[in-house]
Amino acid sequence: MSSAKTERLVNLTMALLGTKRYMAKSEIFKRVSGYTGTQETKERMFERDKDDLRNLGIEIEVATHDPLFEDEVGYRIRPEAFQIHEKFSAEELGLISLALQQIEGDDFSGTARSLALRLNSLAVTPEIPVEIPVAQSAISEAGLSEVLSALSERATISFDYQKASSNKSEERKVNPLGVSAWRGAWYLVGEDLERDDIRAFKLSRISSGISRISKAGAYQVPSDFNIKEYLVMLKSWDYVAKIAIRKSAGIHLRNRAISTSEIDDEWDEVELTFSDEAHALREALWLADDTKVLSPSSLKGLLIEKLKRLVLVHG
Amino acid sequence: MAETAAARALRLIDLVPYLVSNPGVSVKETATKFGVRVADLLKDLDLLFVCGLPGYTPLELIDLSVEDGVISIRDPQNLEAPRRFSEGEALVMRVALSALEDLLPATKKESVRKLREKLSKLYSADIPEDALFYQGDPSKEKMRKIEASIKTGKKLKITYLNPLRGERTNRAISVIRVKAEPRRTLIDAWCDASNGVRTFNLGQIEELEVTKDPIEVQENLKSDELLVAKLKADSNSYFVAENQAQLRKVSEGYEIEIFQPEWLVRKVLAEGGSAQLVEPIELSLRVKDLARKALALYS
Repeated sequence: MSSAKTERLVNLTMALLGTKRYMAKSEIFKRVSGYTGTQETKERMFERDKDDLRNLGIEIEVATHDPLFEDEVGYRIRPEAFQIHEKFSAEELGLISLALQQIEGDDFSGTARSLALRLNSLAVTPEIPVEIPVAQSAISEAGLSEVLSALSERATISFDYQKASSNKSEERKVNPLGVSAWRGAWYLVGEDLERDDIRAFKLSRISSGISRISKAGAYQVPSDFNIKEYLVMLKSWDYVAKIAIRKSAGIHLRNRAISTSEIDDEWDEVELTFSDEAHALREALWLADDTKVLSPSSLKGLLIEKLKRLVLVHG
Repeated sequence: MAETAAARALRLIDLVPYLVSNPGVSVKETATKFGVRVADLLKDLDLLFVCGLPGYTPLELIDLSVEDGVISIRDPQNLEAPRRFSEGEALVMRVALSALEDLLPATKKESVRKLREKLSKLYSADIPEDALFYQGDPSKEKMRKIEASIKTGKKLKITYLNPLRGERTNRAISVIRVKAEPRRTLIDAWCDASNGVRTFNLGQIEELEVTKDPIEVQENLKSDELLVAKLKADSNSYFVAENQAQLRKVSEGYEIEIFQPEWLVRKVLAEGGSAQLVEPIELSLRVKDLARKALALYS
């Protein structure tokens, strides 16, 4: 390992960060410590250094049309793009630290460690609100870090996916649009390029590695994209029914009522949503004579039919 | 794999603001934090000492020293502030925060939500808020508290929803055992309010908290009595699918052990006739009676 190269990279970063105007290559070679050898060697060195810094996520701005340099290109690193200049309160930093503890381990350990270090390098010291009781839990799952990293750069990915109905795997090419965890499992929702449709994928069914098959910025995430619309279990219930419930009953339904109004001393009118008609029917049947379906009339008709069958079956 | 010069340069760059914000930090602690050996950290510091701004006179170099195992930095030059979060890192933070938000009690969620919004405005703004959603496993969280209560021998305070009785109660319980079944988890516990052993369905425990009071269990007391019921059902019965694990197939239908008769009555009612409660006969009659009374409401 060459210390000279490390030293040169740090010096180059500091020089580009410290300059208010763009620095031309010739100026860099003259003023930044570490560029030695023939012109050609220096050029090659600089090109590699630039790539290395960019690969580390350091943004180097290039000015090609600066009249000062005529045909020479100028470089600089803008402090706002390189360092944290936003203000975070001690509590905010504490919450981020606490959140990062949730993803330590697994694929995220490098990211979590680096983030934690930098949070602890700010002028404000993170303060974890002591009264927050959070058990440490690993929320991550294999593949999540690759998916998130592709999503953050809008890069198309491909992977083998095992369908629920068969044990065969198929290759999918997907533009990730969002991720969601539900009951301990992670889901990716993305544009399936071959099926030309937005689909949900359970990460645990991905049976291969995840590889990127495009450059960054291959697509955009629509600003009104809402992942819940594409995950059946998160879809909001849209079957609306109005039922009368006896005041003494139905506490579990009252909890999630859209509206409740009093009918008389004995009954309340409660408006509710259910996943579908069958769901509404089950809930109404469970309540038996503690409820009366008001609308829709199709539900009422179905309920009466089922109650008659119950009497018949238990006759 | 040998560390690349670039990765090392990044560590050097990250070391500076860390040392600025943690004055008097020891070499040992710093090495641990950065995941390197003490010897390597000392080499890093030696190297940082010769880095600086063009000119490279003592005035432009990073000025630091190590004395008695303690690092002090006198001049960080322009590396004082830590590196900005990358878009990818910010997305990871947003996901981690939404997980934290899910775990926290309702009163604490607001500050996390606000912070999430602040971050998404500053970083990774091209990914809308609604593209990320985290909902943990609520029973897992509850189980963690139950385990803590058993381990520390402290009582649990629970809010329990009983839709059969139409009530929500606060109780102090001492857990005796946890019975995990494929679709539900049952908790046998001594319940102070009922002065006896009761069985609770984890799904109906809305809130729970470990108290400071030591558990008390009066032994040799009867728990809720188990009852064996018999039923017949269609193959498309929702109840059969839902309670597969608890059902025992017998010649003409199924048997199930229950501890709350009313639970089974309501479950059979919800079937709307695709299941028949055969035994005990008084439960079967109750199903019929309730269905009749419900019908009467529409006549």
